[in-house]
Amino acid sequence: MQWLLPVIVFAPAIAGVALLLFPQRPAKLIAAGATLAVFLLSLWLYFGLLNGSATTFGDVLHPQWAVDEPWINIALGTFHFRVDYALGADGLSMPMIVLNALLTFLAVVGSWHIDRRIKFYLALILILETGVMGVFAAFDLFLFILFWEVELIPMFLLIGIWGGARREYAAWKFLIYTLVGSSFTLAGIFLIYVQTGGQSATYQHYASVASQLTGSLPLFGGSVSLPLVLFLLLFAGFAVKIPMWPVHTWLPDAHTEAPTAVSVLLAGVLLKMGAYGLIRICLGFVPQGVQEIAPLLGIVAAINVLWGAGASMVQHDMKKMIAYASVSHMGYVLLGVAGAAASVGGASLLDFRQAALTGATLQMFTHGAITGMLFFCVGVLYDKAHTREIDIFGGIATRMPREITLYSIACFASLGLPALAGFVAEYLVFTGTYALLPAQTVFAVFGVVLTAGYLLWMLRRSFFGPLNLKWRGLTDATLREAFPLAALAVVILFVGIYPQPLVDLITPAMQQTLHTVVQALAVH
Amino acid sequence: MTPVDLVWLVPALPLAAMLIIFFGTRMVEIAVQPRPAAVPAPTDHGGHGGHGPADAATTPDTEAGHDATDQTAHTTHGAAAAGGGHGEHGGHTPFWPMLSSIIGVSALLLSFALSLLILWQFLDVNGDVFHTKNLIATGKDIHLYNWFTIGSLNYSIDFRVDTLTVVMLLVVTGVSTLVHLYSIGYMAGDPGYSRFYIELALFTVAMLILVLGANFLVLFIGWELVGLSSYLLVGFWFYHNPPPPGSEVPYPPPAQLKAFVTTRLGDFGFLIGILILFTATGTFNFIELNTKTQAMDKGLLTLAMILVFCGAVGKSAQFPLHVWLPDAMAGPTPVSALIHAATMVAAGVYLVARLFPIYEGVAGPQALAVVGYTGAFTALFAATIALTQNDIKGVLAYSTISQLGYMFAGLAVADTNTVGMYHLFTHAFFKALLFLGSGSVIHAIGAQDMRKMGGLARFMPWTAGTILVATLAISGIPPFSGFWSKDPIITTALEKGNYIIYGLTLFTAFLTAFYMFRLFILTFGGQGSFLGLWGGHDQYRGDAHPRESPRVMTFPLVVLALATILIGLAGFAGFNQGFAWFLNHGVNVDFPVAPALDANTFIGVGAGVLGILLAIAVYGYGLRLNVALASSAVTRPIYRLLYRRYFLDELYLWLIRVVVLGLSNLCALFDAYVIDGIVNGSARAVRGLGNITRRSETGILQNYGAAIFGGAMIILILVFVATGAIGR
Amino acid sequence: MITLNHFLVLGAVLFVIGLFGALSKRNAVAILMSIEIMLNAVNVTLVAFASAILNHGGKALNGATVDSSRLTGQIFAVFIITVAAAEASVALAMIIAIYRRRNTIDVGEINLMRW
Repeated sequence: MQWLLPVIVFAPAIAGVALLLFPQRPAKLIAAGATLAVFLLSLWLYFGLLNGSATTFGDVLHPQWAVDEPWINIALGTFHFRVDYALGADGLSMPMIVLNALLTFLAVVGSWHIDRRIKFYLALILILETGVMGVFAAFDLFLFILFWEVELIPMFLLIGIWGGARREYAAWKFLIYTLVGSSFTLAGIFLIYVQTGGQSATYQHYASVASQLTGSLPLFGGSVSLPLVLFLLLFAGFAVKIPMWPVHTWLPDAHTEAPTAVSVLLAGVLLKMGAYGLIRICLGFVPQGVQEIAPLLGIVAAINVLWGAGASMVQHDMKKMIAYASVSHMGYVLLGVAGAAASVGGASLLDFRQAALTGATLQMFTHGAITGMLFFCVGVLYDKAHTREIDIFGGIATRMPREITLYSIACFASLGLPALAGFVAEYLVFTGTYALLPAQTVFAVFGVVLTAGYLLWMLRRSFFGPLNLKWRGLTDATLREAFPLAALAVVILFVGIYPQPLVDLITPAMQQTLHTVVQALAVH
Repeated sequence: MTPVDLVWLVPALPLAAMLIIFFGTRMVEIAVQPRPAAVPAPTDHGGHGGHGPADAATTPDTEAGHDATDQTAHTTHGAAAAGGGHGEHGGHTPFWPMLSSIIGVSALLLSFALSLLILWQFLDVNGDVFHTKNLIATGKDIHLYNWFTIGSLNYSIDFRVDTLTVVMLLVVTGVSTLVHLYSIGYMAGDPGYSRFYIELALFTVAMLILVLGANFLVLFIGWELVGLSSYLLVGFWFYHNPPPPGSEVPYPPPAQLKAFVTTRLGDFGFLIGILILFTATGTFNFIELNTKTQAMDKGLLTLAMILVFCGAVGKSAQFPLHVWLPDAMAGPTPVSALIHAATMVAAGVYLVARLFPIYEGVAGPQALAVVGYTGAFTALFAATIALTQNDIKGVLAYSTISQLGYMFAGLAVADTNTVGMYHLFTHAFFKALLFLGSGSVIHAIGAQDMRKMGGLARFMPWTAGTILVATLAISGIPPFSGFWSKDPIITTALEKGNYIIYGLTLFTAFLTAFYMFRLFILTFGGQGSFLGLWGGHDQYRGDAHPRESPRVMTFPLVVLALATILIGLAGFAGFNQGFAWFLNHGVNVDFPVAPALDANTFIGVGAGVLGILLAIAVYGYGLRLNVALASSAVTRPIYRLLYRRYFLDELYLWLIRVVVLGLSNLCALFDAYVIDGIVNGSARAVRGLGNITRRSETGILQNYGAAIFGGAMIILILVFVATGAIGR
Repeated sequence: MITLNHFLVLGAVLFVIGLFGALSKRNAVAILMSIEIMLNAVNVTLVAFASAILNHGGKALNGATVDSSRLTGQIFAVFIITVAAAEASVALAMIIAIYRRRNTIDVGEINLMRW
């Protein structure tokens, strides 16, 4: 079954290239078929792992069905440059792989109405899927950064060609922001590679030496803590992607200009790449660096939450509002990680750490599903009304019962209503981090009130009240349009009511990471 | 398999009904009905505030044209002669929506029956019938499933049935059943008929989860879900036009937003409280918390309990978060009765009662003091506002807030949670009765401004009679149920030496009796009738044609009135003592729940009677005290202050506009100008630099050639100098 | 006696003449001719070095032993002549094409690549 993961990673790109060779007409069907197949394969992987050798996905040291072949191996004197073609999946990456496969499939279905250069468009979406899959599946740091950069190209083109009025600005902003960030990450990867012996770049190697990674680095005459420098370098790229305040301003522009399906992918899985990097690489490989800065990270997380919520409150464009909501909600991921790494309490608060980190991971998944659904909802509305101005609508709920039902489910999930997925993750993060970073958590919890405020205020202005006569010709979402919404609603409801399967699968990976964290704490 | 093992069926039945209606009858309803050929251009929106005073003027087409949500009832509704929305006398309900309501009512009836069985099992102390001994003392834990477990931290979905839960189950399912039944008449012909039953069922499920929860997790899930159903039901008529300026009638879309966000503000404190308790004890379970909190830092625990009370303040509409409740009257009246009077708002009281062992025994006295003073102050505060309101539902809303304040005061002053809970129990019936009765009036005349009523007892004797029972009950007049529950609160406060709460509650009792009889006389009576109470000729000030509501609506009224009377009469037979015994797990508490025949009781009842007499004098016999007070230069500002609800809404609106939106705008502007300024600025700097350096690209071939050769020469010379070939 | 140095000076002088022409002439054909002169200057130098090695008795100028029968320099010169011919034809074709479009072969006016 070792072939499964490489197939999931590379099949979309192959399908994407093949798409360009075929005639125009069946392009959508081929793309939908390919993405559906990848989704089913990822589900097979998911359940295959469960029913096969193990009851869990394992952790970073014991990934299931992993592939590891030497790829580049150059010796220059004593210096080895070695890159492994290493793919694997554990409890942290597996939910993301499934989510990516699902959202890409839904994105293809949700792009059915696009006709402009459709072959190229779909090919890019498929290549994007490969890039993102690679980021989550790579088990070698150099392979990771390779896929990380690969993902930029299709995204840049998708925003730049099929975007809205300011698409070029948004695409460049996205590209340059991300590149500037990831150049630091690349530097960090080289530094950690050299500092840990320079023999191997696989995750297993880093994870096994993580807790011993201490010392300091000479800098401008003084010396700085090595883990801190490593963390800051590595995190620079992830912070942009998450996005963390104050490097978040690319997100609203990119979201506003991108076509619906691309916004869905951007919010649904691309932001998770940053969070994934934070947990996997920063927390997993340089835990002491995170520890040194955890309280500050918690403060930034709280700012993220409140700032994003505040900025959402005054947006006039629905998409921009949801983009800021993403900033706000990704703050909970940051908070969870900061809590898990905080140095208070030592090992005695291990359970709370684990709750916080599991919550953060869960939030990655639930936010992907929920925000994806929100963007689809806006997309459906935009396709019919050709505007996303919140105040321009009014009372259109009466014209679009199906849309408003699903839209409000998405909104309530986003504001953390119990029985929907968002609540599970947020509750878990809060219950975990309060023990570790109480003040930061209290501020972040207040975000819950603000979230309810801006989302429901938006619904009230756009959907409720007497019908604005301008929109009396508006039609409801068709079944094809409602399909992605309904699919995500089912996922959200399931996770909200019965989260145990998901949590149980995430837990072992988190336990291993926390084991490293606590070990590092002891060394410190 | 005894009834209590099947307790999960109590919420599961309404849940099943909800799903059947959502995916079943409602879908069929949409499928079978012909699509409207074209959307009628809604030219004239006569409806102001939809169900408000001018509703009678609303043409049927107005809402019908608006509402594609429930196109089923569309055509029939348009054909209904009587009026739009739920104006006068309602309309005709087609088959499929009617089926929805039948499913809803039967599911609730089954739930109620099961709750009764569970009560029987609890009362069956010796296990003669159900072979479960002494359930009343132990209660019953039911583990449904694990959310997940993390290390030693348990997040599990557990139910716990104990006596407190059983009381709440009975109240919720009982009142909910009657409201479901009543709505068949009240909502008849409404285009959203099935949707209404979905949301009612959702509410019932949520409330049942809330009262069944064995830990904070489940309770909080139910807590938020009742918030959701409140949001949905308050905004049920979201498509109505805004009321005209100056109207007291709330407007659904902002009201639903306000209801949700205001209670969320309370939930913020609630959640922090839960987090403190969870961090300190590592458990959500109420039973475990009772013991584990004893090891906690006293100050922290007190703070946590006060924060938990914040949630109750939000949900039970206590000052200063009470502002959402009067606005929540924008929902259909059965909703007001069920959610905003009888059950959901009682959730806060239930929460404090549930945690009473911690409040009373473990936490510092400050926690209960906060509860008590908040409650007593709110009781008076809301009562003063109720004096001046003209909207019949507005008065009732403020009376609800006031009564909830009583419950909190009762919880705070007594040694057990029985006093507060007993008032919750009796209040649920008579307040549901008041609201359903007012709904009956609104249904009959299509208006809810009391200035357009009067003398209605002649037209609708059943409604008037039942409301009179409830009015007497809420005024604390024996032998009605309110007397037995309200008087202990006042007298206990005195016995415990808490004179502030005693004074506040006693004065409030006087005000309550006054404004409730004001309401009754303005609605049903008038000058020239018996004591001003009953009918009177030509007292009706409106222009509709009032007539008694259909039996399906008056039947619940009668049931509730009977309950109010019977509970009151049973008080003479020691029912209250029985209730206290039951609630205290089968232990007789020495605290007298039944009022004694002493001076304190006479003072309490006397305050009520005084209020009634004053109301009769002013409104029944034309003592122009109210006019004098409203127009005198001295009292006019006070009247205005009360009438405008202490300007709290305006204050909050100002706070939101200036502080929240101001800060939000600051964030957005900071992003747009400072952060993006730096981002775009650095991009512009790079571009400027490029603009300078690109000048070297002249495009002339020979310049490039010269540069190449010149450069080569320079490098050559440098190499020579470096290697020492030159200058040796 | 004409020594190696004489050839090298000739080559250098020719190269500089060609360089001056290539950088200073405005006529594209003249620049082309100057480039040809520079190429031929290099040819002279290459051939001079090659024959100098032969005449040196099979030893390189620094004394190292080399295969005296090697004609490396001459072969390079032939190579350069061939390439120069090809280059001249291509360049002339380009000049003609430019002249047809712009009616000038003055390189000062052909500055499409200007910033």
